[in-house]
Amino acid sequence: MLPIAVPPVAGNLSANSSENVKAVRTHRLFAWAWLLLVIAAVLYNGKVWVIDHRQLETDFLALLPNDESDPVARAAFERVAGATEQNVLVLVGSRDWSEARKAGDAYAKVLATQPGWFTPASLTALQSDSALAPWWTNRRGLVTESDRAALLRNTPDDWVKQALNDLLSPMGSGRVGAWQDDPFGFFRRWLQARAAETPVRPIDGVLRVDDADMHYVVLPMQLRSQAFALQSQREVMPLLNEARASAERAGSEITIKSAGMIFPAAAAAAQANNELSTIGWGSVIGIILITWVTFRSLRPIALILLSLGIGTIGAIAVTAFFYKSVHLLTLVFGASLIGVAEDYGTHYLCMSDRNVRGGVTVMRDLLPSLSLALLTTVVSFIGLGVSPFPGLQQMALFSAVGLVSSWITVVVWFPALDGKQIGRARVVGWFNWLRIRWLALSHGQPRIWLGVATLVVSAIGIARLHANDDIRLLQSLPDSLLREQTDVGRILDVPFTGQLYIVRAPSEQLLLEREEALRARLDSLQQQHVFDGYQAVTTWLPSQRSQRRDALLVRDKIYAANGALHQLRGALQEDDAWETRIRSEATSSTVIPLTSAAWLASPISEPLRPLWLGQQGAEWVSVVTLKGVENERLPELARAAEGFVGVQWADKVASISSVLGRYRVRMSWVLAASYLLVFLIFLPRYGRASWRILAPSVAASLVSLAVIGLLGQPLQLFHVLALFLVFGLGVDFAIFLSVQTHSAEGDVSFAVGLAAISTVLSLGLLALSATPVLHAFGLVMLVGITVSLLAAPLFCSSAPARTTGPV
Amino acid sequence: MIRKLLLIVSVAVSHVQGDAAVTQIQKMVARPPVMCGAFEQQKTLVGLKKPVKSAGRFCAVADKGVLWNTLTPFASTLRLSREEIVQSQGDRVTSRLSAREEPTVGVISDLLFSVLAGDFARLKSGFRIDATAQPASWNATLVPKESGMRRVISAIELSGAEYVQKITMLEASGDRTVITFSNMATGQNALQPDEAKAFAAPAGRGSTDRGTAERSAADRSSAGRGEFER
Repeated sequence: MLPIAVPPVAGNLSANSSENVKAVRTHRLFAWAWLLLVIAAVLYNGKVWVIDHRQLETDFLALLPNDESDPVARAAFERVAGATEQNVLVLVGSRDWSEARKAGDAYAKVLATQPGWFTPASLTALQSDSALAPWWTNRRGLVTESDRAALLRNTPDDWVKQALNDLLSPMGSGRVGAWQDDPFGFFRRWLQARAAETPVRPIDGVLRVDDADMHYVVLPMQLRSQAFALQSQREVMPLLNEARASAERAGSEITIKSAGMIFPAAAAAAQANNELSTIGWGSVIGIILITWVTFRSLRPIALILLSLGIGTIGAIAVTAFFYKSVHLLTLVFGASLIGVAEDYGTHYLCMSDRNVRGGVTVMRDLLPSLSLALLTTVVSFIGLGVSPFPGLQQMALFSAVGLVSSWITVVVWFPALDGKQIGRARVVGWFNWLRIRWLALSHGQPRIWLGVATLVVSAIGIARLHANDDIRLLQSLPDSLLREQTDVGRILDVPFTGQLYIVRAPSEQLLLEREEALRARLDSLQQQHVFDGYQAVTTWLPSQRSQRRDALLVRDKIYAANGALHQLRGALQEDDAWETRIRSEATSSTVIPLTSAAWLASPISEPLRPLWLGQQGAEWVSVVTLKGVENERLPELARAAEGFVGVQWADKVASISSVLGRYRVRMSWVLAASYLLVFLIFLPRYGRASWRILAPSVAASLVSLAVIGLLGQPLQLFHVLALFLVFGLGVDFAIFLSVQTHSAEGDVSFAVGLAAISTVLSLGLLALSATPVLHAFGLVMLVGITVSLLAAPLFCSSAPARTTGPV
Repeated sequence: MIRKLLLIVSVAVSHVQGDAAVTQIQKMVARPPVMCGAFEQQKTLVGLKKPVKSAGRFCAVADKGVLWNTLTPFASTLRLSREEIVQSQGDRVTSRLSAREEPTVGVISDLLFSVLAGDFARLKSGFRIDATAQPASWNATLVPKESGMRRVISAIELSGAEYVQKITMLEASGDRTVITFSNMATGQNALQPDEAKAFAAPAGRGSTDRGTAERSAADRSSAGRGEFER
């Protein structure tokens, strides 16, 4: 055996003084108390995950701040987003309609094997006569915008010609009701305009949409479960894949396009899950290997794993206690924390004089630096926690609790469990040789060159740095998936939900009138091709004022004594009685205007119901969504809301992006302030050498920023947040390296080296992540920790601590 | 007498119904790619004492659609293609409905073409067909399978021989349209010069419209904002 085997000597036996005995006794008390807490945490985890079956959250957007300080705007977005979260839209298409139908049937047949999972949208509801009844009864007040303009412009003669022309069509009227109910076709055209709002048509018993020469069967359905729940993804995705495969087999040249939150949600969750296991297991295996190579003994490995395990258990239990949903990305981030928590244990185990002086004594001596290290790391995580990002707060809590738990485990349990055996491999010798070479290389002239080179490279890199806070940069969807989602949105002409107008008013009718005023502006923008269209409640539910105005307009222009009706009667050779009857039916004074209750009660309102927030406190609120908007047109659309009372443009994408930007700047200042604060904390202990403790982190941060700049990646909030960790860990290294009283310098340096390597192995592995947030973190950690490790000895080997007592 | 009886029997035997009849009608109907003729139309509308009568010429060209040229009581042209339905009086377009605004334009145009041409193979997918076929003539009643369509058209009755000779359209509202055809001609020569012109220059901007639709669709997808729809 290579390790120097020293006969175990019980620490407390070598401690003779009564003070030491007391200390050991206190220590034991803490150890038992900690055991109770750990058991409590294990039981709580069991309750939450095994008994309550709590689900992990996978929604990326749940990590982002709920910035809308305006509760109405927040409700609007939640309503619109919530309405579509469970939607699944599948297009099954072919150039040959009959092939598409066969494939569509095959798809539906597979889904029908699990009737409880989806609610299919029913066709029959939309086609029942009762659905349209409220509009048919109120048709007098329903006139399209272009007819309204024509009514003001056209002569009665024009209307008669048009009515007669309609009578020549070989196709029948294609209308609801008989010709005499709508002789001038106003209601027919109004319905046609409503129908034009969607390209989907019921044909041959299914829903159909065409795109160029492709015909698609549309299969709209609603998930019964949440799209972001892992469990539902695990169940539903295989079924959807099976349905897809079955549809592809059922016809020739079948194209299938699917859209719905579940697809990106499942893709992101699968990716995170994958990374959770590779990064998590990667760090664990790396740490086991390092510990093995270092100590050549199983006990240290078991101890380190114990501290990590308890850290994780504690972190999960406390997070689950404070948060209803624990995010999958928290676990991914937490998995990378293993390497950080491992430092404490390694540090203690590296002290080669444990067998001589007793574990408890060694631990008491180490305690100040271990505490400082914990403090700075936790401070840096609290830095993450003060951001308004619920996801980051959760990660910060998770990490802080995990670190504290591991730390307590090391402090209270390790002296009793370590077996006092010391064993270290030749690797320590190699490491110290390398360290000495590195220090020698960097003394004098080379050190100056090194400093200058670092500064120059950093300056060049930082000069190239540019910030971009666009939230869309943080999403990573496979291209094929993204393309399908955009295609489905385009083919079905679905509105976007990232931007919308919020309309509010003190009464329902005023709300509808304000929305109509906005629509007039939107109509003219649409004619200028600023965007493709919009969805608004008032298309189906005009204000009563507008219904009355249109009814009056039609009465004056068409049904006046010598108006179009009178002339039509002449052309059709009908009598007075006929004219009187038609006129009285079309203009009778008992106009019952269409109401929101009637609209809401009809199945026709279903697609637009999310736009109707109704009464919210003292206000009435509705939402207008847009279709076919290009990014560069957004400012124009934002301006369109100007000048309208009660109309507000809300751009969720832009508002989240601007929050990200605001916090990137704000957190940079907090970081600078943290450096200052820690400097002040160190002053009493390290005096003028305090700057040396901070210098490695500063250097590491500068180089990290430079690397981001040189790689051409935009600077984002998440880079700044990672710099918090670089700060915490870099300071840790420097603190450990400055503790040199009771132990050989080599021990400490070796422990620091190990800690750095394991941190790079874990947090640095995040750089490989395809999730942009984690990648940003990982890159900064990888560069930052490496530079900290290299820089720390250069600054700290000549920075002896002034005092050795506890701070 | 026996000869007469035999004739009756043979008539009875050759009187076929159901699916077999549809097959037989399909054999009987010529379905030429170009077909023109004269029509007389009579609309009986609920609430109107007198039926509305009109007459004119029509042409049906496979894959191009239908031209419905009313000459009396006044000139009016209806041109249906898969891209649009355009109504005009002389050079003035009085209404235009594109497939972009109303996706069923193609379906409507195809349906009218299939009815005029007696293309039962195609009509079968959308209608329940009840047919009777005699050796030299046939008639058929088409009921839409789709409840939504049945709300508008309750049935279409067709009768004819080599060509469709009479169409009766019964609307759910009680309105009824009867069209009878005469002077059928087929082949390229069937088209009169102005009719050929109408088909050669497909009514107005049909193709340009589609180009714009595709372009704007491409623009939209390049905006790539779909990912934020929730």
